Amino acid sequence: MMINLQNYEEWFLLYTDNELTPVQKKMVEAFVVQHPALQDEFDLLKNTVLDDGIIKENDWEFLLQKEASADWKEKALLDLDGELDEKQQQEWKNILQENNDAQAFHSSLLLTKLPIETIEYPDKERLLRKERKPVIIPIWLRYVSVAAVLTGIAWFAWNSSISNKIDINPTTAFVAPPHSTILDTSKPIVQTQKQNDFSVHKSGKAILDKEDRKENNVVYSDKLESKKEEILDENMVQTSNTNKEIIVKKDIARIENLTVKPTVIPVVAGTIDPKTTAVNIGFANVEASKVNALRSGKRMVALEDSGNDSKMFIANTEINTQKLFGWLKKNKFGKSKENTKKLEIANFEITVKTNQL
Amino acid sequence: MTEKDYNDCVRQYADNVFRFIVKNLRQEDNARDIVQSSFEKLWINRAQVESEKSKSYLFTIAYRLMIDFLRKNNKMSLVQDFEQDKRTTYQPDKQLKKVLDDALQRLSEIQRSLVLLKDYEGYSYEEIGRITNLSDSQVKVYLHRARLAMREYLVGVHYVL
Repeated sequence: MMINLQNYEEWFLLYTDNELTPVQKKMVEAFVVQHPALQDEFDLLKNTVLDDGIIKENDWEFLLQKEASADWKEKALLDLDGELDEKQQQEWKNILQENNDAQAFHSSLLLTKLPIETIEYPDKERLLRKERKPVIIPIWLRYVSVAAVLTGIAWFAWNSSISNKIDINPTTAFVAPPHSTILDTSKPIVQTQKQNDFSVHKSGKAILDKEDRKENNVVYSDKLESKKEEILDENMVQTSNTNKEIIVKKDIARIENLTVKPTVIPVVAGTIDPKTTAVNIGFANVEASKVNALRSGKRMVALEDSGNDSKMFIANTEINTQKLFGWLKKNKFGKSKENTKKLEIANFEITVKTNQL
Repeated sequence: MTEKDYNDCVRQYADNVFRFIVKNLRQEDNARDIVQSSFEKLWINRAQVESEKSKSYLFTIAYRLMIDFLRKNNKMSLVQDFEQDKRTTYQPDKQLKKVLDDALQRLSEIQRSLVLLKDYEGYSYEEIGRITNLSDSQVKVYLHRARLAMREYLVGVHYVL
């Protein structure tokens, strides 16, 4: 688009706003030369542009002076804090020498520096610690420990297996409880009750009837009229001459329980197996420490064939003595000089005396 | 950090940490508790703390515990600017140390901590920033404001004299 008399105003405005290229500006200036009547109008428009030279006339020296002061004040503060590098320190020293205000400021600022002061913490020793070093147990010691435990268990098992036997002696017919039987000696009792009852010596607390005994792992034999039963040691339970039952109670705790409330003990099979000497006959509740003491504690039952039918209970198992004798005859056990034979039933060692064997 | 490093740390820095806290709180019992807690934390985290940085770590813990304590007790002033107590009058028998102490107590907790860490422990702005969780420039600005405020107070006191 070229400038002409129809559009020259628009070109003049663009020229004033400095929106034209240098070539276009020269075109506008040449157009004004060609048309002098438009010169005044062109100059008026150009005068509307603000002149930035007015601002340059202001004096900002006071600001520059203030800036310089702030600079050395900051240097003074940094110097006090020891945060100036060597170059800045040198500059600061120069300022201090030349500027009295800076010296005064520096002097007053030094007052704010805290003097070194020592305050001791009381009981410092209490803060000290000591590490707990872990204890290393040698492997061989562990193996030895395990071996010792296993040995102990084996000894315990072996010790238990040799206890709890009942010996049947044809002449004495007594039952000897194991040593673990702890009887209350504080109340010695010798009681004889009616037939089929029993008395407990030195044990005290338990007088059981037949049913209770049967339910509570009580072992007795019936109709052993001629046999005297006695207690071998202080823990033995003895039946009187008139009693026909033999009561064996191994655990005083159980006996005590029976006096208050009969405890039902699971029936243990009274298997007649001479080889089985460690059959649990219902005394599983015996404490381990007591079982350990059963070294000489044999449960012995002595029987003599009197020709009458009688019953014997071993661990709640009813055994007919006549059948037992018959079985012994049938199996032709060797006959000893004393006409006695021994067999073991559920930890009870039964000694049988009969002329018919 | 080994047990020995920790115990060395106790012997070397317990007094410093105690001074830092007691100067801030002006309560010896609470300051002692904070120091004890700081060392307890250092002991617990000793595996993660390098012995070279144990002092800085210790001051960081102590500072944070102190801030927590002040917040719990509503004693912390969040005003950063120095406010002169007009009621206070200078007593000629007071020594300069006491005046300086008064000037220090007129600072906010943060400003006071910065001055203490700078003057007593000689930490740089960067180290102070790590301890107080502030940027370098913040440390610089707060510390300079604190200095100027203390100077203003001290100069005023001397002018009265």
